[in-house]
Amino acid sequence: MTPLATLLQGAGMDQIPTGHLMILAAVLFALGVVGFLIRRNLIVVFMSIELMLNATNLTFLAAARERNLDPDGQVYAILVITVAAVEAAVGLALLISFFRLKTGLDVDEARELEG
Amino acid sequence: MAFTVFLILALGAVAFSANVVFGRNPAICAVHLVGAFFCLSGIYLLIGFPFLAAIQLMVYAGAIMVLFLFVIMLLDLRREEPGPRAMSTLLGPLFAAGIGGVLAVVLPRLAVSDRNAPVPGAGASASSGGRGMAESLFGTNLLAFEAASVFLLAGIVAVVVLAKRQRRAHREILLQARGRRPGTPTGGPSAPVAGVGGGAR
Repeated sequence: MTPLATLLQGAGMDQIPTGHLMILAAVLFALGVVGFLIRRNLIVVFMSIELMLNATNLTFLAAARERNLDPDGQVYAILVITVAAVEAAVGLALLISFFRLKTGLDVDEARELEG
Repeated sequence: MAFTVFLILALGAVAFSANVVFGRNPAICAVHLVGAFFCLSGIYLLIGFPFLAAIQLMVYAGAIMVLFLFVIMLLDLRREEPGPRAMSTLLGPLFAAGIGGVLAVVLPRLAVSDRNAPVPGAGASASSGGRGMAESLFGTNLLAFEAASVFLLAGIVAVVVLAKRQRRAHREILLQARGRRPGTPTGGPSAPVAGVGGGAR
């Protein structure tokens, strides 16, 4: 058995602490929050949301592994991916109509809803 | 060995994500996001979820990111955006660092404290495969599954409505700009012109 095959069989599962996975998820989520807050380009804002959803998925899977490969964690991750796909489709359609209405994709141009 | 691979993949995911957040060109950002998804998929594989790794590659890195790149190419977003918003330049990273710090402290403790919880499915290797997942998806989480399907249907209808409305308006603008009907006054024949355009397609 090659080392890669043993790796893929989950031979090193116990060598990766769940805390490390959670910290990685927290870092990715924080990066997504930074992108969501400081970027002006709407499409990069959407990418930041995808990044946050991925961090959530990693949290679900790490917790599921902690609970002896609980299948519920995988199911929740699949549901999150479904929500992300719908969000991307609707969001990008909105973004294209926004682009046709305005000149660019700057978030600050969308301020006609205020007051 | 596995831990080394995990470290490499985790650093790759963080580096790619930082490039997504701080990069200037949206197309480059999208490609780096694909890289981050690949690294996360490798981590899923490493911690024993091969099915989710495949789903991650097919749905995320495949379908969703193709949608993103398609929109970027369609809108031709090569312009450099101006600097970040003045107010959130300082507050954004502070807020994010707060959230990230709290999560990084709280989440590992939650995970560790849950270790003694009753574990469903004694056969771990069997429950991680298709059977356990199917029992979860169509058994205990059937309501969530149905809600997800209704959600997908709602998304499809929403996208169709959005695309249809803007296509008609766009075609009117195009036809008016080209002056396809030179004899008719502007603004009058908007509905017939849209009908003709629809029939020609």
